Amino acid sequence: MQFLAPWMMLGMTAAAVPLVLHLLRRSKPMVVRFAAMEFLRKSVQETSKRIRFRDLILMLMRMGVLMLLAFAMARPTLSLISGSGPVDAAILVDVSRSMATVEGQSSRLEQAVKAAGALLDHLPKGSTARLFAVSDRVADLGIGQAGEFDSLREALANLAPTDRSGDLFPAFASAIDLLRSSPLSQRKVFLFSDMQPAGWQKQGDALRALAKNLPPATALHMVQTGTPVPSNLQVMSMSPVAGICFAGQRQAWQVRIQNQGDQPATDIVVHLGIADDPTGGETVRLDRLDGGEERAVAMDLLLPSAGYHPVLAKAGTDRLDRDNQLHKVIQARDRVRVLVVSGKSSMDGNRPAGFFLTHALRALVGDNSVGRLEVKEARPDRALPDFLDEADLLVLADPALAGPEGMRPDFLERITPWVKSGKPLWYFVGSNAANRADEKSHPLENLLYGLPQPVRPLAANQTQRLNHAAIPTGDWLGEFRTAPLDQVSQAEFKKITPITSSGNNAVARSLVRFNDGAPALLLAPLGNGLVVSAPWVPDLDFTDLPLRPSFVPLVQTLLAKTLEGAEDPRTLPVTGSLGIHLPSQESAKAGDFFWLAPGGVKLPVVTRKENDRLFCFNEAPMDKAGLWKLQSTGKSFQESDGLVAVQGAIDEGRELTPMQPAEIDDLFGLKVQHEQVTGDNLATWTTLGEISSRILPLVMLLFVLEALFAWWCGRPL
Amino acid sequence: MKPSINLLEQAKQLGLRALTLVEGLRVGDQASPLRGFSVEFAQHREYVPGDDLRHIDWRGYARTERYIVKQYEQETNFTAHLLLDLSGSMAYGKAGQSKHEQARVLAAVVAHVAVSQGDAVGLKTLDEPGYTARLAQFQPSTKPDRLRLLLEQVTSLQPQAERESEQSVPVVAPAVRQLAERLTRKGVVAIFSDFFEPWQPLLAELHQLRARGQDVLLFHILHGDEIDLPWEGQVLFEDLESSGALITRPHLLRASYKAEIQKWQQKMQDSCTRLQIEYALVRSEAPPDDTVLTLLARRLSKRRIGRVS
Repeated sequence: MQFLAPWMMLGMTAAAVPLVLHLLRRSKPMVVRFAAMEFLRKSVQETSKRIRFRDLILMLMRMGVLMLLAFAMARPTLSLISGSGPVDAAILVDVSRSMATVEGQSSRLEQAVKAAGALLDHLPKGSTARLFAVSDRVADLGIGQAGEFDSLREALANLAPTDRSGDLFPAFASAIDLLRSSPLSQRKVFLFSDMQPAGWQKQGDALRALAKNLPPATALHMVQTGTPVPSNLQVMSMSPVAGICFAGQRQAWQVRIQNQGDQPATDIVVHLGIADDPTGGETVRLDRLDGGEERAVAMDLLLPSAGYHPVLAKAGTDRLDRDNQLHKVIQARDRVRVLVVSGKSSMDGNRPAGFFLTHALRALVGDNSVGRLEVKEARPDRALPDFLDEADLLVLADPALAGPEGMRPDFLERITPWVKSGKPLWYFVGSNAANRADEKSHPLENLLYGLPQPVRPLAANQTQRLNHAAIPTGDWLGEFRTAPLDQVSQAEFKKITPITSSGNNAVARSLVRFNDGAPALLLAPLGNGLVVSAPWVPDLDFTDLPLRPSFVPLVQTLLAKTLEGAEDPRTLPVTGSLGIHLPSQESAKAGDFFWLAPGGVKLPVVTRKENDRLFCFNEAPMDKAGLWKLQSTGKSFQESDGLVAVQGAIDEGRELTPMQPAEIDDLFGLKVQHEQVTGDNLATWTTLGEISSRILPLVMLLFVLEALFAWWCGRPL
Repeated sequence: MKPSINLLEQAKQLGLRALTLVEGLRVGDQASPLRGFSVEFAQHREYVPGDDLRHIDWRGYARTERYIVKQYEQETNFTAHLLLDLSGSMAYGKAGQSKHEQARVLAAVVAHVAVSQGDAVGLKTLDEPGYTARLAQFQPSTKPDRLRLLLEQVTSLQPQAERESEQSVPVVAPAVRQLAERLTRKGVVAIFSDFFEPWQPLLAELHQLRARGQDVLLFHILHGDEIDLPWEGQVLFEDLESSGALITRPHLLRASYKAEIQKWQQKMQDSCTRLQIEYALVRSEAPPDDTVLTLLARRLSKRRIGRVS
């Protein structure tokens, strides 16, 4: 407990006034010579005990009134860190993206930092404090002991909001683990956060289990900063409608914007342009976007030359500006040449199996791009190895694998090295795959991680559909989760080994599954190239998928993603690792490179050789969204080749309104201490406030009681 | 403090009537236990030789043919013994309102009324042993000159607070015992005191007095302060009759004290009623007129009382 006016505590001496008055009065009694002493003595005998007790009570009440009054005048303040003795405190500061939300003149994080600093100031002598920065990972920022917290204060001052999402459980687990071995008797965990639901909704029952096994004398304090945000705009995605971009050509783009608050946002300016060129691009004004509404805004963008371009989409301004913009590094191409090797359609001999696919590809780019997307069709038996030299993408649409109508052996032999050199291959397997010579020796076996099997007849009542739910939300196919992909296949791969969804050694992963769990769209890197294989044919013989509205976007997405190259992305989520492959012609030395992070901070680059290319990455975790630039002192290095767009956590813009204390208590399964800090109490929040206002009524009550009691006793003031 | 002329006149007119049969030396206004020949018929009895023939009831002789003598109650005067408490406690009260002054007034009134109707009045002042110098004793006399002398001397006696002894000593009870032993004739005994001494011993002595046929009057004289305990704040009470002292806050005790005083006074009154003793509570700071006149008037209307067993 502290006092804002401690000198008023001298008023406590006033408590002696009743005692002194009592003694003074006692010292000079009036003298009366009296006769009826016997009766007087008898009365005294009868009443003295009662009177003494009443007098004692009365005196205590009077002293209590004066003491309480002096106490209240001294303006006492209760401290959150009550009690004497040192505390072992774990201070968790949320640095997730939502902490960048502006609260008046400062951000939520700045407020949290100030509040945490105030906590350090008020920790009892001999206390220990540990500081953790919390996003979806925990960063231990050090420990301060015996009241020496300068290093922690410095670390606090250097904290900046990241663009990562929040996940509070690992932080709590780490902090509590450390506190478990604390030699101090008081342990406290302080979380400074905006208590955004996104940070709390990933733990399930883990927090409850953690709370059950708290070390003894451990208290949890939730220090909430931030106020509800009525509306928050977020650029969810942007992409060229065609999937690929051609240099020098104004193309249609789609920018998706969502208002993640519950109140409408009005007068929204949406801008799409090249990040380094603020004068270019297109601006569209939206009158209104209702709470929760997501809208796709059609815009045009011209990428002037072939190569990588940083594209930036921005939508208005609000309290959390960091999610109002989205960067993407887009490769503009001069042209894209697609070689489609189509087998016979099983239903219609005059129509190749890749008929609909070819038309879908041509439909993608519109009239302006005619000539930029060159589709060349060939029968399997007439596809020559030389055709591959003039192709950027090879599509095998159910070609026969062997036989007179099958692909030529020299063509087959050429496919694997062609893909390994960095080219993409789409392979749709249909009934023509049954016609092959020998499984084991077939040249496509290495590409497909298993050979396609003949068409599997489906029973009349059996249907096979793409399982939309199997598409990961974060995947680039995630947009098709809600799109109706109908029955697509009766074919299957004999063996797909191995298929994993993640890990450094992943060789193939399933993008889409059938409703029976079988893979429907596989993605596998091969050398520098990429193979997309599908045990179905985009043909009406198998399915009506080509007639569905989702077919063209699907092809478009496949085209855009596979042309970029799976292992060489220029757009990364902030949760991933920062690393790009430099073009093979780049020959600069590793030491010449450095990363220029958003904000202009230079970071060291680690490099390693992979498949005759230079893989440049950053060992430190990436936590800033925006444009990262790999820069080199080498003269041959083109700056545009080193551009990487990092996109922040998409869930951080949602529900910026804090969780209710009761909801947090429910997650822990116990009542934890909740505090709210704002601009007004950042420095004083640990003092629970003046309690004079609570004491004064008590003084009044005691005074009234004293007066009544005195009146009843016949001892008024 | 002196009795008003008005009071004396009115008291004199009312007279002091003895409620018991008194035995005097002279014929007076009071009823005597002896049968004589007077106005008040008492009874018939057989004639015996030597009886005055004037008292033979001839009409009775005519009816019964027996000599019957008519007896009449003998009327005589009485002797009033006044006991005046001059112990230290009677000193309480400021001048003109003190208890001993009030006691003197009352005694003077009673003596004046008695002497004026031919009764003899004797007086004894009561004080603690060892203070005999202050004591005065006057043998009963019917002479007004003696009465004047008596009153003058009594006036000069002042009670003095006794601050040396540890405990107050009862004065009324010994005096009553002594009087009861000494009195041979029935008369009137009037005691003027605050009776601040143990009641039971005093009551026993009063009982003896009554058992001997004495008509007893108690004038219980208290000052208002002793009834109401009016002080506030811290007060040091010093005993008027001993060296005892007590510091207390009287206003805190007031209720309890008043209850005690009332209980004591009620007890005295009840005891007196039982023993057919005339009891009158007199506040020393108030004129005694009403009290005295009421008492005298009440006695006129009262039936005669006998002795108690």
